[in-house]
Amino acid sequence: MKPRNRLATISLALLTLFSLLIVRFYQIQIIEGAKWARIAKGQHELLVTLPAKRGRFFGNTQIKKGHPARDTPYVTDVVKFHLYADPMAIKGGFKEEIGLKLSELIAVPSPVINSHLSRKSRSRKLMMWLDPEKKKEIETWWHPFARLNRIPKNAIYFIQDYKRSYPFDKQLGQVLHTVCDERDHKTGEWLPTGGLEMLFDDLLKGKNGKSLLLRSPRHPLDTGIVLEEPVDGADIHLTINPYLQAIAEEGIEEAVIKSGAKGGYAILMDPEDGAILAMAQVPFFRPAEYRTYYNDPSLVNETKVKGITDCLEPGSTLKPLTMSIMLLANEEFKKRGEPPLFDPDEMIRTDRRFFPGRSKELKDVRLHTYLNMDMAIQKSSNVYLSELVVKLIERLGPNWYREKLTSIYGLGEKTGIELPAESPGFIPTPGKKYASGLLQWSGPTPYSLMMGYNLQVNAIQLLRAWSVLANRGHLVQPTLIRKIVKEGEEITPPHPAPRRVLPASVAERIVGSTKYATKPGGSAFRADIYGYTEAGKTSTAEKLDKGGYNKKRHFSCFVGFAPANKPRFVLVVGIDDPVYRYLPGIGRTHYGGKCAAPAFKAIATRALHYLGVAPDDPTGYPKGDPRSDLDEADWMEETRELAKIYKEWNG
Amino acid sequence: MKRGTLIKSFALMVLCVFLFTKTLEKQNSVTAARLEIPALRSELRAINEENTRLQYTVDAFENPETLLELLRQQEYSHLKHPFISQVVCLKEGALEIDGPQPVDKAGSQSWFKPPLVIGAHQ
Repeated sequence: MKPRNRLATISLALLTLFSLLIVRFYQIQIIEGAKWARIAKGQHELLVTLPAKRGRFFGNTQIKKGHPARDTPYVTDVVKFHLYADPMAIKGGFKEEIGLKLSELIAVPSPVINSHLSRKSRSRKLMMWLDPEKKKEIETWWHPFARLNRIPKNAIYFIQDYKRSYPFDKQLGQVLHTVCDERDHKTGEWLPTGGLEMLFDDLLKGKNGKSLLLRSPRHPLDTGIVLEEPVDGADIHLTINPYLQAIAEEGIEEAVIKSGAKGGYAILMDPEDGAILAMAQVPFFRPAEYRTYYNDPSLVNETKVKGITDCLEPGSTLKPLTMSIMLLANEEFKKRGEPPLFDPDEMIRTDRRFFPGRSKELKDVRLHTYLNMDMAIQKSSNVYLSELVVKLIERLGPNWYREKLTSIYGLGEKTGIELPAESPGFIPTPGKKYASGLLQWSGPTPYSLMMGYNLQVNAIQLLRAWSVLANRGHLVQPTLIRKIVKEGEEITPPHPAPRRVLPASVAERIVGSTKYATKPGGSAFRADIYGYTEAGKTSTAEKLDKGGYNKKRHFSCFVGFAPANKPRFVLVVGIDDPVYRYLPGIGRTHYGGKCAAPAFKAIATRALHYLGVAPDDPTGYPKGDPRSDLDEADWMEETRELAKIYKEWNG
Repeated sequence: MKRGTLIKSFALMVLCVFLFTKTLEKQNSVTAARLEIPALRSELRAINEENTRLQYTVDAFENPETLLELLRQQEYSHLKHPFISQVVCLKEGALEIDGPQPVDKAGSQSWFKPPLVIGAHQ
């Protein structure tokens, strides 16, 4: 080949090669540019999750609205560590030695650890929720050991996590609940077990953020680029006062132990706005030990807030509410220009035992020949109310009575309190049938209803109904939430204002009657709070058991409020299944007046002292106490007068 | 080339090199600071976590149940809950007292010192 041709060939070849290079460059930069940029970015940049903190719950230590108070956390996320091993990175000869040492450090049997270390895996979880001190202790042993034996340092490693921790241990356990130790494997989100944690999960969980780091052999280089800011979960400020809660928990625990009951609860509510101040339940539920409860079928039931999930027949605590409906009927007849249903002060014969529509005998614990309204509430008379209810149904019909129970006291419908699984309760409806085909409302139904049987209410419904009397006629919306704060902003949903449902005069009259119940001669004299006025009512309802009422199993209850004239709280004390027995000098101990009323007194006395409520009955102490002056004590004159009339009428 | 021009060019080059060096130094210090950020952030996080843990310990110690238990002990039996009317509430940073203030005979309030401070308005 001629030199000229050779030069041309070489030039052409070089040009072709150069062209190919250009084409390749074009392909890499222009056509596949995005792909290679993405791969390069993946190699040089690192996406880091910025964890969002789960929201917290706070108690309310304010003893007066507007007073300053410290936020008291009910739950805190405390940093803990999970211990992991990479068995593939550990040389066979060292596994047993490592197993033995770890067993000694974390108190897990060495065969368990060895079984993990013998797996062909790159990651085995050996222990959860280790304290930073324990982590340090393990690292102090592990790092020199790994260096000496040339084992990769990260063959044993830790992953940091936040553990829901409860500074007040069991307090408010059923209401707060908790989250599972293991997060959801797919989403990495917490799994709440129930209670407020479950209801407010969307608000509490927040949203993780993302930030960008540059990879480098030695150091991660912060680019300062935050792709997504983490959004911490909202903090929920509860209406619960931790001190009142502690008082209620101590009080109800003592009452349950004394009465040999299966359990019980005590709930305090502010009758002015429906704020729940304490919600104690025994047996307790410790959220930190939730696994123990869910792994034992006999304990699972203790994780529920029984005050809202379990309904009860309110028994005699419904009588004052029924009586207020009777007074309302009087007003209804007055409007219609008809004679009233009854006069609260009139003498009504109460020795009848059989009533139209009811085949079974109906009687009082003790025979009374004549009673008026105050005596009927004081003595918890079934016959007196039956005499009135016969007339009421005759003149206004069953629907009127039922409608009043619903519209005035909100019975038979959910209260809307912020807890899951609230039971709406049940009130029979005239004309409707049960699934069995039986009519819900039959001849004996009104007699049962006025005594608090044949209907189902939850404790919050009962508390709300009694609040109507306490605040002289307003129906309030019970709530556990004071405020919700998300990213510094308050996002509390509006709270419905109380609405008038009962004339103040009717409520005042019934409060007057219920005040007799805690005075001498009343069924609840053990609930008398020394130094303060109070009003309330006991009940001892037989429990439904195997398709009928069991005479030896009861739900004993006391509902009341104090001070009676300007109530600071309404308190319901429920004792579930107190032991049925007779004690010499005391009598049958299962009665509400014997087991629930003293608990009311104990809790209410301490609560009033804590709330700084000045005694409004400073001489209302028992005989023998230097402060006692029963002639001056509240409602004693009226009580003596009532006792005098009772004696005149009944011999 | 004129001598003056040569000197000017040299001075300009020196200035450029100086500024370039300064820029590099600045870049290096920025990079060093950026390298420190993750370490400092993790240190700050650790301090915050420790703070949370200690606060948790304090809260656990101040459990109302424990306080009620203490209240039952003999050495604290002299302590009483104040009535709400006895609680004086001060506004932060000022001697202003909620509700009616006591006034002496001369009508001045300057003598008054609150006997008990419960807290300050948040």
